[in-house]
This record gives sequence, structure tokens and C-alpha cells, in this order.
Amino acid sequence: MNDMLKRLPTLGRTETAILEMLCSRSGELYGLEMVAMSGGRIKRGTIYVILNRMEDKGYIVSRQEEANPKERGIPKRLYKPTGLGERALAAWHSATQAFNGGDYGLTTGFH
Amino acid sequence: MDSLRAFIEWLEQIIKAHGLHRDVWRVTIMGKLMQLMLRQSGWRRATRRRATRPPCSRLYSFFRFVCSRKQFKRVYEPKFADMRSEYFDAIQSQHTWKARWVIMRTRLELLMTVLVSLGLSVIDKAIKIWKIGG
Repeated sequence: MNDMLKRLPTLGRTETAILEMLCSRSGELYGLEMVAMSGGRIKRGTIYVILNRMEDKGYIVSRQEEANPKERGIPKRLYKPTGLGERALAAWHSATQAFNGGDYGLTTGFH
Repeated sequence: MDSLRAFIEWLEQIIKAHGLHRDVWRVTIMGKLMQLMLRQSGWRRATRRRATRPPCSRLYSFFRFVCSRKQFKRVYEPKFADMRSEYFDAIQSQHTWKARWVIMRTRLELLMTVLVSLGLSVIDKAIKIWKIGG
């Protein structure tokens, strides 16, 4: 039982919001775009710390955009979800739905 | 213009009386007067435009030196990239006050990022130690 619990992915509220945004869009997103899309749920000061943790957990991957020879400066970072991230989000959604609807996915036992 | 000429002649008389070289003083005074008139008409020296370092470049170097490569690339560098793009957009649209505000806000956000990052790493370490102990 403990091993099973250890393997279960954990998602925070902000992480869920980020994964929802990334999964709803087919392409990649910048950090600042996510802040703008979240409508104040994600703060500018913490977004990159959270994205870093999510990358460590394997929910998202990031890459630096190609440097434009005409534009000098620091290239931005683009993020997209991984398969694990999409699965974790789907599991979180179904768990939330089941909890809210009272259907725990169990047909027998627990009365 | 006549009054100006009269003023210069009066100055020349004073200079002559004190035994100073006439031409040197004339050039200097005329130069100063021309400068004053041009400044009044809104003229600025071309030499005032100069190349400067991008904003927060010292902070950028500091974080690159202090943080690990992975941490810097993932957490701090995108922050600076966002700040610079916003800053230069504001400068391009001639919103100087907005550009200054972007710099101020970025400094505060960096402080917040450092605090959150440190807090989370301390919690992670504590959990690891607790798991080893348990």
C-alpha cells in the first residue's frame, strides 16, 4: 500500500492550473503568458519556481526558444506538458468529479 | 542684437582695462552665449546619447554566479528575459515611468522568488530527513 501511495502523482492547486492551461493549448506557452491567462491565480514572482518543480516531477518539459539573429537579448523559455503531466491532470479531474458526484468508482463494498 | 553688441563692447573695455587678451575672451563669451541661446531653444548635445548596460545586468551576473546552472536557467533567466522584453517595449513606446516601474517590480519579484525557492527547498530537505528517520 505504501509503495502504491509513493508512486501516486501529487498536484497542487497552482500546478493543476498550469497543467490545465498547457493541456488546453496545443502549442507551447511562455511563463508570462501563463500569468496573463491565469487571471491573477498565478503570481509573477512564483511562476518559475513552480514550473521548475513541475519539471523536476516530470509533468512538463521546457526549452529555450531559438535565438533570433535580428533580436539580441535573453531568449525566452517555452513550456509544454508531458504524457505523465496529462495523465496526472486527467486523474485529478476524474477524482474531483467522482468526489463531487459521490461516485467513487466502486460498485461493491463500502456502504 | 544691438544691446548684445553693446554688452560685448562693454565687456571688451573691461578686459582691455585689466590687460587681458581680447580675442580669447571674445571667443569664450560668444561661445557661452550661443550655448545658452541654443539650450533655451531646446537643443541638446548629441554626446548625451550613450550606450548603457541593460537594466538589472548586475543582478543578472550576481544570480548567474551564485545559483547553480540548472536553477539559473530554469528560474532566474526567464525572469530577466521577461523583464527585459517588457522594459524595452515600454522604452520603445516612450513610457519611461512604466520602464522604471518594470525594473522596480522585477527587483521585488526576484526577492519573492528567492524567498519561495529557499522555503520550498528547506521543506523538501525536512521531508527527506523525516522520511529517512521514519
